[in-house]
Amino acid sequence: MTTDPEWNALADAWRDEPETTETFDLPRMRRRLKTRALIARLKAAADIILCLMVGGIAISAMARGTPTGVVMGLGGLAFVLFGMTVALWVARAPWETRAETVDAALRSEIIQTRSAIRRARSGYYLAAGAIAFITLTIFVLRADLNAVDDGDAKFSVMLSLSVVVASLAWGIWTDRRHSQKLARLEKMLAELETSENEED
Amino acid sequence: MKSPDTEALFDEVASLHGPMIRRIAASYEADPEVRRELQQDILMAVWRALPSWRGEASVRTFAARVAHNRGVDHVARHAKAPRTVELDEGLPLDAPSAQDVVERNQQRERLMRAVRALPLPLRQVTVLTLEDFSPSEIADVLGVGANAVSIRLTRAKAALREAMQQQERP
Repeated sequence: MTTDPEWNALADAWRDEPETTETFDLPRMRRRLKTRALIARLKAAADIILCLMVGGIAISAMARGTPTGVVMGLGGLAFVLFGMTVALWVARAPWETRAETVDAALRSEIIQTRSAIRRARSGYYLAAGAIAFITLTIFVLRADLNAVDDGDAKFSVMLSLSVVVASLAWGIWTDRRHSQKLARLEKMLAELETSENEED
Repeated sequence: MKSPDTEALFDEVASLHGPMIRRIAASYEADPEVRRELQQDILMAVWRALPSWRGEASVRTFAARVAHNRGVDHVARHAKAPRTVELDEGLPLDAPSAQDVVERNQQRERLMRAVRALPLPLRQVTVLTLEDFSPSEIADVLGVGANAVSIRLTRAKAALREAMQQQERP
């Protein structure tokens, strides 16, 4: 209790809750947390497997020794390397717990939101890389493409471009959402800092 | 997997400090449905953060810190505009609807509205004071100096008084 009777009266009113039947569903919460942890591990494993697969295909293509194989292999390796670099770049944000002081947690949240924005914007670069790769593929394989069924080749290119466009749309949406959140976080931090400066 | 100690600590936070977490969540969110989600989020954040608890502060201080951090995050994530939903605690009344119970609930409702209307720095010190935290504990939760807490408390009291008087005016 404080020594201020006004605060004490308010504190009594604040804590004077009616009896409640509302309880926390702890077992359900534990299940959700375990599921989330499992999904995170599976996603990380899937990323590594995908990188290894693409890397393996690229190396085997290069091992054939044909000019097409070497170009395709180098392109594949460059793409894997690019993807991994982006993944590491966006993971720069320190994963701090929410147990810091409010001020520190707000700053940490700002860092994480900036990281999320970087991740969203990295999609633009990946899309540009993917378009360049598809163009290179069409250019290098144009002779071979003429030999295969034209419909299949067009379908493959269109499918690849659709994936790129969808990724781009997702990136724009998340970029916008996180940018709005960042603006609100920075506003709150400014509010807290102004308050502290006035108190100094 | 968490250790049995952590699980026991988590159960302690949920059972002993659950009401405090509910009230802190209510100071950040008026909509009952969204508020329940926020409460769950806070407890999940406590669960994740518990392994980093080294016992420097009490579990209660630790839980309050996590709750405020999630509350701030919630405001940043969702509060595009101030919530206009009327306070509906959604907490069933088991007590008889006697006049004094009604009056107490109304007073609490007015207080909750007034707290929610405070600017963030004042709201945080107010909620922690109402939760019976000492000024040094509040300084520890918020990461500000004791002097800042004292000044904010003085301002918060004046702002709270004004907001409650405004609500009482017809």
